[in-house]
Amino acid sequence: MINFTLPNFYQNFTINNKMSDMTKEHSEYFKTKINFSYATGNFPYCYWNGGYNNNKGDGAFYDDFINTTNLSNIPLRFNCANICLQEQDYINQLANLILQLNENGSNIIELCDIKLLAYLKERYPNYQFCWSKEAVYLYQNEEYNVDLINLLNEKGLFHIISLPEAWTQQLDLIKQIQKRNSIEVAINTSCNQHCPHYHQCKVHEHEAQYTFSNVNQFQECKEKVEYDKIKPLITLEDIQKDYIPLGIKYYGLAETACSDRHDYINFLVNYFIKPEYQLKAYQILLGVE
Amino acid sequence: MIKYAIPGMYELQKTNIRLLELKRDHPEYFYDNVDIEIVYGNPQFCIFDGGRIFGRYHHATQEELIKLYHIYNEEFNIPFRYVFTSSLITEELCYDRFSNLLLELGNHYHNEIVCVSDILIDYVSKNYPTYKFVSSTTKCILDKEELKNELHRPEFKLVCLDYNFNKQIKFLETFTEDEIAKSELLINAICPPGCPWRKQHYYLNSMSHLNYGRSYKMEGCSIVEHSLHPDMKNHSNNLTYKEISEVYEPMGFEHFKIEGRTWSPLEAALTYVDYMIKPEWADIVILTLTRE
Repeated sequence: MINFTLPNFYQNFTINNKMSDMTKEHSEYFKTKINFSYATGNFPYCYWNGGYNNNKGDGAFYDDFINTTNLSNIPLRFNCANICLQEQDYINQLANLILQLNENGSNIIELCDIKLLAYLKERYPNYQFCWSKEAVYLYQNEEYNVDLINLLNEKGLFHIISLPEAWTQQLDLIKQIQKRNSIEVAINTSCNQHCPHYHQCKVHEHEAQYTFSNVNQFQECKEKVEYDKIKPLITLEDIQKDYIPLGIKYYGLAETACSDRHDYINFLVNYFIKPEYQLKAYQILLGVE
Repeated sequence: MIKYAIPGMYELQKTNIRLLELKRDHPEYFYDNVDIEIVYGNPQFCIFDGGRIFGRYHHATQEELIKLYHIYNEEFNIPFRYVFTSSLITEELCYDRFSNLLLELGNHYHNEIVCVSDILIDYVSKNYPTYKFVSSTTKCILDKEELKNELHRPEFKLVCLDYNFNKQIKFLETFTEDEIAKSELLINAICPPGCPWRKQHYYLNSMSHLNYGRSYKMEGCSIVEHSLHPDMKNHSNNLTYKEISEVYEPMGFEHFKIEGRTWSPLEAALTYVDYMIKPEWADIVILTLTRE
């Protein structure tokens, strides 16, 4: 069984639910046996969110906070990994309300701030935690290394440790991680890591989220970088051949890799579904059965 | 001069900007003795808000607000007033990021804040010193001595009187010049006169804002949504333009607040016309304010 985390639980709510249903009702459609272990993201304008700027459209309300968990077929992973967070942000009413209302023992919290971890552990004891891939932007390059991951693993603080995007194809590096059953690898990325603006652009996304901005000053950069949205960087075959033998159980879909609903559906169908069932899968996901 | 505080700084921005354009380009449409002094309101999802409850609503971004505030403060040279009337503000909540962003973005002009909480006044005074404060009508101060004390508090530029004082002319006649100058009258309240639920209603509104729209049942209150409902329009405490011009303006009262943050553009247009526009220009103003 391969466990995948789907992106944007709020924006992709219906699609994610349908995908989860499909694994149960039409398991024959899938190229291999999979499970959607979490749907990640956060509610719009919650500035604890990091990585994918979700300052877009309408905000969410109290009823949304309750209904999303109640109606979701997949446990939620709340992204609280904004690298700009400071201690005075910990009491933020919106983020705390969301976490308080969704503390059901199944949902988990993704973060990259050890002090925030201590705060949340005390306040919300029924959550497990995920160390975010976004943490890499808080460290100097040389500081974020295998030793750090091994140390985090040893401390047992995290249910899942999500590796930085730049590491996911470096199998030699991954092999140096001692306890790999808590590791999560991103199967696709939003940008080309070799882009000269890659780091700046990612940091800017966090800053924009933190300041309620929806401007990405590196938009132009994104357009220049060639990125094939359909073909994942790590295929299901790669996972079975190279990653499963290493003991890696968790795989994540990047939040920003799919630009809109149709793009996302295309990705899901092409990645997970056998060619002979793709038309049926499209019909289900598009709601035109 | 009759100086109005008009509602919907953020919520009715399109309508209000058109009204300000009309005031600039066609002053002949307006009664000679009226002016628009300030625009009040708040972006939705601000936990300092203790006023109107909205349904699903757009969340403002920093860029949107910068653009809007530039229009009010720079293009029309008019201040705005945040509605920070939550009665549930604690010292911790003062650090709320979105509310602080609002404060930061407006901290460059003589903008105002209408508020209830002394904790918030202290916090804002220390961190965003350009704001002036208005004591909120949501305090529901009904005691005359208490009201006079409120009028003498130096931290307030204005005190918005409880609407139940509107027709107590004998009491208003006891006001000194300074007290009159600091008084703001709410002229079209949605609440019926003497409503016993008003204060509790604002408390529950504060709870709702703090909990991102969680609904609280208000037992006993019979308010319907819009203040243009005939029953509301005829509330005996509410003032007409004629009453304001003939009674209150001659007494020296200058500041008048028009309620209506949750209005549609049509409701806003009809009310603005009632209070500001010469009858012969009413149709063209309504059409201008409500066109798509």
